[in-house]
Amino acid sequence: MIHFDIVKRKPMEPWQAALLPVIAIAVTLLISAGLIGIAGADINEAFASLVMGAFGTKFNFFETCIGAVPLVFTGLSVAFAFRAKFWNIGAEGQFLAGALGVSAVALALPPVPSFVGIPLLIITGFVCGGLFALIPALLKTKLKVDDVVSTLLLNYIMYHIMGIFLFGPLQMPGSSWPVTKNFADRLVFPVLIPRTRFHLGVLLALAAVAVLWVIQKYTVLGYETRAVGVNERVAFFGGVKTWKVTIITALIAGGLAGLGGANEVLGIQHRLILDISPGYGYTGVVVAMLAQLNPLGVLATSFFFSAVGNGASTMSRICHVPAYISGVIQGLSLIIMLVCLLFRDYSIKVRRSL
Amino acid sequence: MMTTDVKKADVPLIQMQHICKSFLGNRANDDISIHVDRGEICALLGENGAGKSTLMNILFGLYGQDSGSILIKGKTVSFANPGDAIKEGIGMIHQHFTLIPGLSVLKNLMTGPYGHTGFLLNFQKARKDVRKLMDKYHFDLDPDALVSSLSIGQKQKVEILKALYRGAELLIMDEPTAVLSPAEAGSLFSTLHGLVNDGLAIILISHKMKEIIGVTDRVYVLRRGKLTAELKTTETSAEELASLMIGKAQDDAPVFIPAREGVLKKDAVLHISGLCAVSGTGAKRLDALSLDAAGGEILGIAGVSGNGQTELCDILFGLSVPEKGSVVVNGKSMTFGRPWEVIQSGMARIPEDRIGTGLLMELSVEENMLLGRQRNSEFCSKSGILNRKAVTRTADALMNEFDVYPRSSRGVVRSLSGGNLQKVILARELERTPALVVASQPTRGLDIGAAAFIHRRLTAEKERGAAVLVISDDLDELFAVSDRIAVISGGKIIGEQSRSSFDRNRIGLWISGVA
Amino acid sequence: MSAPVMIQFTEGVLGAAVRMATPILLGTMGEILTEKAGILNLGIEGIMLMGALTGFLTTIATGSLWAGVLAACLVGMIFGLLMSLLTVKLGLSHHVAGLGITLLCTGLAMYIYRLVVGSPTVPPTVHPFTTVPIPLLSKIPFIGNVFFNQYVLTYIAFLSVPLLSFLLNRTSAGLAVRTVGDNPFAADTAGIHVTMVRTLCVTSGAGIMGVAGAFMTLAHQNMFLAEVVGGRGWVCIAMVIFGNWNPYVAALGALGFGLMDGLQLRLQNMGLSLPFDLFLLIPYLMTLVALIIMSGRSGAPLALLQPYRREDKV
Repeated sequence: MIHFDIVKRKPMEPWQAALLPVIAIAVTLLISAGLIGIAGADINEAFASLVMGAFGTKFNFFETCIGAVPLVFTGLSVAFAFRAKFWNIGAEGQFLAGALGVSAVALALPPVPSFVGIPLLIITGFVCGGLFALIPALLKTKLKVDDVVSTLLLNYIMYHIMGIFLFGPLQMPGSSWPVTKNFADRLVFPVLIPRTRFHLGVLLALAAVAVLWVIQKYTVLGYETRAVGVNERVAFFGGVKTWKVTIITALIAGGLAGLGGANEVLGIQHRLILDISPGYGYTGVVVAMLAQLNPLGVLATSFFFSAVGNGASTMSRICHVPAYISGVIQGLSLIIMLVCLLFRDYSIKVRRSL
Repeated sequence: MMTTDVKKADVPLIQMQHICKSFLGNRANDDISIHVDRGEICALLGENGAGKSTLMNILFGLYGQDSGSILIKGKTVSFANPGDAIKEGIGMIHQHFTLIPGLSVLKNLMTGPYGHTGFLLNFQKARKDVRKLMDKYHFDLDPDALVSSLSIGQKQKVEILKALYRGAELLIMDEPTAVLSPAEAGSLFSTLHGLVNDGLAIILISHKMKEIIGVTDRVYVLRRGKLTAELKTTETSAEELASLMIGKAQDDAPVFIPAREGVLKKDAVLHISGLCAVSGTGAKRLDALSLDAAGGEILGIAGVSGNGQTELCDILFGLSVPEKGSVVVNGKSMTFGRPWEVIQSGMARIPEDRIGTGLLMELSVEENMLLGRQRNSEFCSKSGILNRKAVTRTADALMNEFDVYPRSSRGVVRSLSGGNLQKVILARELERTPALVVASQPTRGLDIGAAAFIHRRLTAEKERGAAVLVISDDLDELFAVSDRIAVISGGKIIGEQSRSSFDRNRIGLWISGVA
Repeated sequence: MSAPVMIQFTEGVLGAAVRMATPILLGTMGEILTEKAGILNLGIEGIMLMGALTGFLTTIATGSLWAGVLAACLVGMIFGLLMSLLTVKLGLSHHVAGLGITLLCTGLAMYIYRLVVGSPTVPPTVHPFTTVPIPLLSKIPFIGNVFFNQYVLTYIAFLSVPLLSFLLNRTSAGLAVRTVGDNPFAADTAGIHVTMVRTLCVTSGAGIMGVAGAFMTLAHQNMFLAEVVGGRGWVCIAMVIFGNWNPYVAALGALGFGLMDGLQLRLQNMGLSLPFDLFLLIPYLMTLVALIIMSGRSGAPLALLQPYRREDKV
């Protein structure tokens, strides 16, 4: 009989590990090509339209950039949390919490100048997301409630809370849709490149990546979160106040996701709608895993998935391939990346048993 | 011992011929041939890493051998799985029991395709069969008791029962007395005699010479993967076996340095008083334990694992909170359950479980050396920024001083050998010149060279004036390095001796619980 | 409200509760079977959606509702095999693998639906299952209508509870499953094939989850929408924990959720002026509260989430 043994291997060089997401994406695109073929479209034409839609024109390129912004925030949120083994599947709910909080404040603010209002709203987004993440964090540390399940349930709870507000106190007067009034012009993010939607949020996203990179590599907090993620018991033995680390991690992770929500309402929509998030929180998990929990990697992978998302809608218009292919690509790349990660630590040996 | 009634078959029950097995270039078994007959107890003697467990795991079907053959009753067999071995009448009891605590004894026995019960669990039939077996061998167990409520000795009996229920003709036991008290060990051996009188064959894996001499018929000695001797027990002695097992006398043997007058302090650095701790199920683990350790001495705590050592260490290390009692370190009373305060108090801690408690396996050596000191001013600024250069510098210096191999502070700890893992922990803990060192099973699983290094280092700490507590189930180790030996049994200190009056017999009695 | 109206209202609510509990019951039983062997299957949400789609499309293609159910089961099993490959054979993170499968299935289901059905102004529908009253029993006042005048799938769902309990507690196969989930090394040394047991449990559990999804499009509603499963998969995950891995207690939880679900529809129809979303919110909130109450207890299989490699243990 032939056996496949999974055997530990020597640690990979960093450059080899950086290739893993590339391999994962390549395999994913291969399989997707098959699905596109089943849809009856010409594969070359389909991929051409995908690339066209993603960065074919200057406008499209900038659209892909701004589409990456929410993914950067949720990706950073998930990556930072996962590093500490806080399974933050609730980035979606924290995103919504940020969006809701910012919208409520934006609509209630008296006339203040931009340089007061905008920073205030940004902070609001961070705080709302952070506080919402505090709930599952406290449940985990004080009551040992499983963080995966609690964050999942809270996502749905937050979505419906938003619904209550959007059909209630925040609803645009006179409308029967779950939307708010548009925010005041001085409270939305300025557009940085004329005739595009390229807004301040992009700079915020880049800043967040830089800040998180510094935190992870050069601060005690980064060290302690990593220690807790590797082995909580050992970290505790080493004097780390693990419950404190979990809470702070949750606050930061939630805050990042909340910032993502703030970005969407302040930078793109300029109001709150029920469908403000097409699953950014869940895509954030894919972004984080393909980035191997590295902030710089998150920048690259969120750009990629934004490209796929934009390209897919162009592709669906031109080649009639359903745009849902981007969802399939997300799921596939996550699974294949997981398998690739396996090969980072193990190799497969074939054995014939006697 | 073999009785004359048992007829020796012409062909041995089990034969392993020219077995070779390598793991990643390391020859764990190098052309080993053994055989066992019905009605005899054979020992496999050897140090850690000699290849005994590997050989038996091959016999039980957990590994396949690289070359060589296994014969049962003269017929060549090949095992792909333990299931195949069980079918051929081989049963194995591992060091870590394979029981399901949440199920009853009966259900544990009925697990597996060899529980003789078919698709529907036939409790009635199983109960009858199990009763018969229990009566035959005088096992006093309640089949409906939950395994979680049994003592270790009882759990071991369930394991034996399991093997018998599955029709074992050969029983392999891996270090069976490692977790038993001397009394329980005695009970085990009389059970084994009963089994052997019935025609079973037994293989004992052990490194305890005295047991082997007392209980077995034949001994195989393994050393570094090779079979170095096959002897009848009656024709050899403990001393001869020991030298066969270890090889020629080691020059690395620790040379004891007695506590010097000027260094030995009058006041106790560690003062434990009335410590009480209870396990999850309500059993008493520490029973008003009191103990003092003075600066400049090594105090050895002897005892079989499971008598409260783990609970004592967990409390001292700040990992758990006792029910009652107090611990004073260097004059300051300890607040329990706060490892960060324990670190500040000047205690160096060498935990029993290196991988699960002491080291962050996926991180680098320098990151592990930082653990416990990440907020010290030399590494961390007021605002929380880490000075990575200082971290690397310190790690490099420590690796040199403690001779850690490979000498790369960025290397991942996971790839280090056992001895080097322990050195990393020691380097980290001893670097801050502690007033108190608590080391739990510090040389377990290490080769002689690494163990000697550890002993030399601990002695150096003693010389420096620190109080050193060494908790170990290896009496030879304690006799070699301690100034005083205290014995822990049943959760309290049952007796103490100082070096000038070490009496091995007395200590042995204390260890088995006789005050 | 007068007494007879009250009784009728309550009867209606309880009957709806039993109905709405069906997919949760099935999904939860499938998940318990999976977790008892040591695998956490977070792909349940996606597998239920694929089951919903497959059942729906198969029924449209063949005209047979039961063919749809069967196809949903088979498709569920296929994804169960994928999950087994990832978690049992390769030992990957259960959390991430499960999430990946949910994302994949969610995208795939919509992709296939759009391909096959396109975007018609009137979405296609099927003739859904009708309730099948059990002779005699359904005539019992009050209880008859609540319990014995339901879909066949609902009867199957309720039967699955004692069936699963029996399987786990009184058969040698069930004993093998529990051993694998608590101590895979013990199972290995007992001659049990750990990989095969785990794979079987994950695969058949996923098949049951597929059927749970099919219920949504073939009985509960008669069309396929993206939100047709709407988070019920996660509720099943929570129900397993709530029930402390015991099928009967978990079933109680499922009924509770069904009650909230059913109540929510009726209160809306009665025109209560509370926000619509509040009703949608309540079932998930109750589930979370229940989880908090149950926290700290653990009948979790001891080896849950742990991959088994013989070389690591020996």
